[in-house]
Amino acid sequence: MTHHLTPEETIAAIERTLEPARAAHLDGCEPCRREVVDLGGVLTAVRAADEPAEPSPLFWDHMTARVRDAVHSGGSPARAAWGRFWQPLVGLAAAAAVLMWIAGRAPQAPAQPPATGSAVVADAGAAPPAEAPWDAVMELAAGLSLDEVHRAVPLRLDNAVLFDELSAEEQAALAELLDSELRGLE
Amino acid sequence: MLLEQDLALPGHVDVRHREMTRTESPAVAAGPPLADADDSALVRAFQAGRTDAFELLVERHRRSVYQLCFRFVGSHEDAADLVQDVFVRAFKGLARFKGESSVRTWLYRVSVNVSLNRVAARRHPTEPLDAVEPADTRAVHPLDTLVRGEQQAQVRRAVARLPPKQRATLVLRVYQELDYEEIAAILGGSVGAAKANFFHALASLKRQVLP
Repeated sequence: MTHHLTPEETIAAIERTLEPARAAHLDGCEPCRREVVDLGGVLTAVRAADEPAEPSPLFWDHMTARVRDAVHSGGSPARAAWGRFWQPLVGLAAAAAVLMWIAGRAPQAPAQPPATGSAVVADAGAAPPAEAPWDAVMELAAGLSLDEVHRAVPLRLDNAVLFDELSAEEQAALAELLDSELRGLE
Repeated sequence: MLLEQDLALPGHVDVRHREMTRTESPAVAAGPPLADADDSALVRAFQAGRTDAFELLVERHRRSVYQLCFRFVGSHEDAADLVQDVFVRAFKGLARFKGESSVRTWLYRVSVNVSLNRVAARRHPTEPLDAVEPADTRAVHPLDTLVRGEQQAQVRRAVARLPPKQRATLVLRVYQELDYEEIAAILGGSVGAAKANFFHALASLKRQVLP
């Protein structure tokens, strides 16, 4: 009589990779066979208990931005390249522009632009701080082409307007909307 | 000058060419396209100054890293924190990466370490393994979804109470579907030790979840 299966051999038996000589032992050994059946059942239960985790696509945008921020705050030499992690926010800016267009280009804008929307006003003169999140978004949004907007937002945009075609009041309203969305991402 | 397709991320407006022109140094911008490069080439590119190569590595591995972390901590919030931690550590360590293992193996090793540290910090220090209640098999019925769900939750709780190395081996083998060679590379030790850990994990679970 040969010795019982070792742990490694038991795993091999469960995974059907046990060498033939040891498989012969398994055929004739009730304790080993029972162990393989039991542990195989446990393995099946473990597989069935898996909870596949699939976060929202928006999470990845947020995550990459957070990684970028963490690296950036560490004084990394990659800070310039990580600047492109603000790119997802361009889609947000484009979406907001489209929402304004859908709303009939007649938003109830505040009389004065909100403080966080200073970049809109600054477009006419003062330079915005280079690394303020809001300014980065506005800078990107201001340069969006219609094709870029169309790629970001899958809607018909035949009558859409570019950011720089908006009135000051509309830009202020867009600024407020984007600021609200950005705060939600924080 | 980087080509736009080198930096393409699906689902996003591609204004990177303009952004890179504005912010990137010539040394970083120079170089061949990276989008089709394998992981090793991306590492070499990063080490040569192409920091954009790291973004491609993040994009390729972020999902599996997230899922691995999630399987240890069981919540989106914790997994989100951990995956960020993994990639920040990876960014800081990639310059010293020597290619002795694959990038995936390296990232998984970091992921397992940060996940186990998080789990260890939260686990009640006096909670013994034997504290897991055995399954109430009287209630099990193959057509009873609710009972089945509870049984699965019980298995997950039992897995969460395994010793760290057994748990890591189980997660990497069963859920991440890695071979034993890669598991051994991630966790340290031999292939035989990885198989033994897997055996002991299943045997421990058997005592907890089977009558």
